[in-house]
Amino acid sequence: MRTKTIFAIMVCCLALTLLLASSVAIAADIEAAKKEGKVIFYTSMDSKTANKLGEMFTEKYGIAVDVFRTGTGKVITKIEAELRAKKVLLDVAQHSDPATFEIWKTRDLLYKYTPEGVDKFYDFARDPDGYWFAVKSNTTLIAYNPTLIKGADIPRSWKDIADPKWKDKLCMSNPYYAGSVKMSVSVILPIYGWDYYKEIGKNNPYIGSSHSGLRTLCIAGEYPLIAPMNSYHVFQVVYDKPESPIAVSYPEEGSVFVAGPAAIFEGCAHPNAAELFMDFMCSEEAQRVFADRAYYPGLKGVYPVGQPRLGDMKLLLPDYDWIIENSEAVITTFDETVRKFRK
Amino acid sequence: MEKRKQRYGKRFNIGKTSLLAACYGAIFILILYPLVMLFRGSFINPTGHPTLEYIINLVTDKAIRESLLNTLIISLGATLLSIAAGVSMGWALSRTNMPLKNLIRNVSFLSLLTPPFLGAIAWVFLLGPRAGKINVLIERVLHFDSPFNIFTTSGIIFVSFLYVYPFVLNATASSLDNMDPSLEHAGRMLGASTWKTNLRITFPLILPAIMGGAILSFLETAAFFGIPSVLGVPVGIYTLSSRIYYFFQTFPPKFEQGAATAIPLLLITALLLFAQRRLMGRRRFTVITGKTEHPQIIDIGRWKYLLLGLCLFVISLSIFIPYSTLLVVSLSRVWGIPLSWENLTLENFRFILFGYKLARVSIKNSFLLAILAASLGLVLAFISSFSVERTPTRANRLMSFLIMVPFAIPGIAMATGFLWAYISPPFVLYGTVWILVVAYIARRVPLAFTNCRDGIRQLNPELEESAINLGASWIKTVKEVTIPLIKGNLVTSWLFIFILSFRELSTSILLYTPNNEVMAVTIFTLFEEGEFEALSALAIMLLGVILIGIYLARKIVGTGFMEIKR
Repeated sequence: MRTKTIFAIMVCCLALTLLLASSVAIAADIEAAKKEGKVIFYTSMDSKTANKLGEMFTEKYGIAVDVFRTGTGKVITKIEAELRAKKVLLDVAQHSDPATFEIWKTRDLLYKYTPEGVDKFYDFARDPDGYWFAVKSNTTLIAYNPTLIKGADIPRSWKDIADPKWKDKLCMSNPYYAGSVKMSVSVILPIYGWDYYKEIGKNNPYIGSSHSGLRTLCIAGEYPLIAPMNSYHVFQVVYDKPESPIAVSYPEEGSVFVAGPAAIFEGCAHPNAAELFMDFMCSEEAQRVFADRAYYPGLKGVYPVGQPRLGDMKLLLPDYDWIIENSEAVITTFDETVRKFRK
Repeated sequence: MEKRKQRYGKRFNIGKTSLLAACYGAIFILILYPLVMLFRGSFINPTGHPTLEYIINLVTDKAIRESLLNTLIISLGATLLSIAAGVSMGWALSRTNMPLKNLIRNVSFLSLLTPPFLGAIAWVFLLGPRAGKINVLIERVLHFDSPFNIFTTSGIIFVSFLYVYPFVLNATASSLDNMDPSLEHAGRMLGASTWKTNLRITFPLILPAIMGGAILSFLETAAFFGIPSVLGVPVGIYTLSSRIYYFFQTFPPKFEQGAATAIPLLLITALLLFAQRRLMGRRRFTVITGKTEHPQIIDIGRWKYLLLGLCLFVISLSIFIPYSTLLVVSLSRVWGIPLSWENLTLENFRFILFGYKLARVSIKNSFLLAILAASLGLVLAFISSFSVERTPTRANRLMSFLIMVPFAIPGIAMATGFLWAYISPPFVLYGTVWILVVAYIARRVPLAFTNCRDGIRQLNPELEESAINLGASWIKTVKEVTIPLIKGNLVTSWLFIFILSFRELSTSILLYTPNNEVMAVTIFTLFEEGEFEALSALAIMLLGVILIGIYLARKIVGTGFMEIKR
């Protein structure tokens, strides 16, 4: 009995020490981060969400967040240019191409850090090696303008998009601008092959760079069909301006799962602020912001309204090893195929 | 006399050696080094080994060949349209009694100074295949599918033409203005009709000038980045400049191939400019013999209204219609809904001024960069032109050649060189605003240089000599004699660099880094993201600043301002 009590007290003490130690460590962290003064964040998430997170972080810690927002492709090329220059400006990168994070990992460019609370993340949102964490995810699906496309005409599958009736009506982004399109092409290719993209090319698609730009064109009726389209780009409008004519169709073959990892760069200028910012993005508070902005958060138990749960959906999952192997070929062949078969 | 010149030269030389060295240093940094690095980049692979791979790709890669072909087709198309419109408009302005000449001269000039990619964006709003306002109107009123689609090669040719035709117009009008009328008098006295005189005597005389203007139109079109990016890239029509951008944006980025692809663009430009110089140089003496008499103004009766209609049509398509479209969109709540009181708002302006950090940052940067580029560029242009004019040594003649080199380099090719030069040691400017400042200066210093040199050339050196002889130091002489006398040239040079830097897109788009965005880049980004209302508000502000700049320049130096560009 006595030994048990002593043991219990010892455990309590240990726990308390650990708690104190850890809280001291975090406090030190925050102090060091404040001294660094800012964190430079390159991201492909929509600018409203990125800026909102930045403002929240600044309000909480008094540390500025310099947001550089553009498409996944441009985020990556910007970083590659900086690596070339041996002048890495950014601290934290986030975009929708996990395959590139895998490549960066093998090139020893990422800094290993386990943010607070990621133990409550889904497995799919965690790099098993602990370098990147998918702070948000989304799917790609088909979006259309319901005033121009109705009833039986609404495409039900990826296959339907290749139908000649969509000539001059289809728009999409491409695999080198948008990570989500790269993921989508990589899972549709094994099903339908490049012949599918020949047919797409014959439909004369408008190839924009940004999905929000495509959304504007779809709502205006300029190009009434978008495929593949990011789920959050549609649902953000559904949340904010429900009267806008845009709707989704979940393709029969499955919606494409697109993870949006974030990671810290090795040798960055503001490592402590970067760690703190990663903690923040994985916190429940920030994860709720992602859900409010129609993303699927990495944190279990937080869901976007009005969208089916990932677990209930038919999903196509990208094979990152295959993408690493074929990335360049996919990008070049896509560009060539779609251009060549235009009419 | 000889002795005086020697003494004058000597006193000038003492302090000037260091200034001259500074000039050469600047030219090296601004022009030579990036150019060398551009070529180096095209011949060395990422692991550091020399290779011809990228050059061979220029011939074997189908995508590059296609881009080259598109560039040639589009430039040729825009040039032919420019010749058709520019020659008739120029002739109408110079030789006929057409009304509203001043209006047409002034407005057509705006085509060269306002940013062409804004025109492209506005024309998307108007002639987008399904939702473009004009197309919607045609379908609603005439009940058939409109044949117009701006996302085509002809669409690109059409919009490019609107922003290059003034080169031909100016060349035609000014050579007609300056032509010796006695030749035409002779023709008429020998019994030829007015039309015949024009066709057989006037036209052959001004042909070299027209060709010169046409070449400039061709080159400007070939160098366009914004227009083919907005109208062509989404539908797979690439030109060399948009293809270069593609190589930098694709993954993994192909920096080397991008650099190599800039070379054909550079060669086309250099070759045609050389041709233009030859053409103009050989014929100049026959065309411009000084204005002894005013050329005869022909009364063309009712035809003048036809010509006036043509002129008004062209300036409306290039200026009035697109820019008022941007104004309307900037004041609308939602693009696509007809303008009404309920849809009218100033919210977009509030948003870009107060609600959107990127817009605020880019407005600040645009002013800062353009002012820096204009001021530093002017100093360089003045010192170098002064040296070249006042001490014509061999070294200075070389300088006057080198400083004009950027004139022959399209913006995107130049940016490629700058990226190569300043991304890695010894000079790491990438990631700072300075890479944009030096790029802006390099691009526009030829213009300021010629402008300053023209001013100094017209000054009699004896004015400076007498100041020196009266004991003034050379610095004081320059400050109190030279500068006040060519103030007009200096002010216009400054304003020119300012305006052209303020609207700059093709160089900035490759060189900007986070927090160094400029207005043109932000407008381009907003277009890609479909934020048409905010984009238009920012565009209207950009246009406003440029118009104020032009107004100031005209106020200070009068219409002479308009004859300077190129």
